[in-house]
Amino acid sequence: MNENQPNFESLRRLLALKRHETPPPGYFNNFSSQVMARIRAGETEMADGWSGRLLASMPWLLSALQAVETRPVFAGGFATALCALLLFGAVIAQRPDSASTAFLQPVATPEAASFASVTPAAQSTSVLPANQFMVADNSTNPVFSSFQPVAASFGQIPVGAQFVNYSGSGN
Amino acid sequence: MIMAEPVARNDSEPSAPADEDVLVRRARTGDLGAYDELVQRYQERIYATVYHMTSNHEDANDLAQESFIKAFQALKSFKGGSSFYTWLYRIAVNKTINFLKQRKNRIHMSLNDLDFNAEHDPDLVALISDKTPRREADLTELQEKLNEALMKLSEPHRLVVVLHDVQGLSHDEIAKVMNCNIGTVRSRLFYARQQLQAWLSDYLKPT
Repeated sequence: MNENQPNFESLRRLLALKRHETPPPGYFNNFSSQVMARIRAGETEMADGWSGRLLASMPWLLSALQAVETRPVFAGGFATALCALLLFGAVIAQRPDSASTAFLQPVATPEAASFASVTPAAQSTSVLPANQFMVADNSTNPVFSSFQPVAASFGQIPVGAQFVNYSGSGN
Repeated sequence: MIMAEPVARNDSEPSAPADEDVLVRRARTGDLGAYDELVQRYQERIYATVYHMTSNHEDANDLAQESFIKAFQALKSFKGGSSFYTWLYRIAVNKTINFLKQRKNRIHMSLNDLDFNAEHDPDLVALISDKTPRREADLTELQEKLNEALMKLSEPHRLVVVLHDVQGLSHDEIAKVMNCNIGTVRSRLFYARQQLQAWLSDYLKPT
């Protein structure tokens, strides 16, 4: 043995003292049965719960969860990616992006052009108060015979309505 | 740096009986009886390793049980590249190290008394005999000081000492369990022993 090497023999004999630290007598008699009971309980819980059924139907999800559990770097990476995604979404939402405003611009189609050629007067007549709606000429309602504005549902009788008299008239 | 070369201890390596592969295959199919046999085969070694790392019987009990449960749940991912007990050790060691990291600030010593055989161990009797500098040191005090010193080591260094000097695993087996090379194991063992020797110098018989 090299003279420069420290001699750990005494230390090794002292460490052997650790071998005498044992659990209470009979401890290992029930150890495996406790482990088995916990495994059975876990299997029952897995089979009964919705999460268990979900994991049973998707084994890759269980593998992914186990990977996250055993390797914290996966969990960290996933959390970082999620944060980056949220940050990206927030930045995109707050920026006056040309792509999003272009969606609101008029489209240069023939129909759009015809709408654009309507005079301001015509436009103003076609605008109705918010509490009125239009009834079309082709309506089957006999009362409203023309395309005209009608008051809203409550508060007043429509202008074009006719009262019906049910009383007998001389016959 | 010249490192001490410990005596090879191949005789103390856990043996893997031929029927172990059969038991593992049966357990992989969900045979709890087969897994029960595997648990009984390795429960003492796994428990002892966890206990010597945590110095607490309650924690060791929980962690050892959880290691076996996790191993059963992960049996399908066991490819057989290493022996079952090496794979099991790795699970227990990782679980224990994670536990110790989470509870770094909680250090408590609730050690059981030494068993009866300790008082009659010739090595220990010699250790606290006339040549020991502190003759008044009894076994209990020695045990407390030893555990205090062990708990001062970092987890990887403590683990190497526990697996090699207490559990009797070879360097090669420790390297597989800790997923590192043999050189790292030797270097950690040397450093850990140096530290322990310095801290326990009052209790060590001069050579």
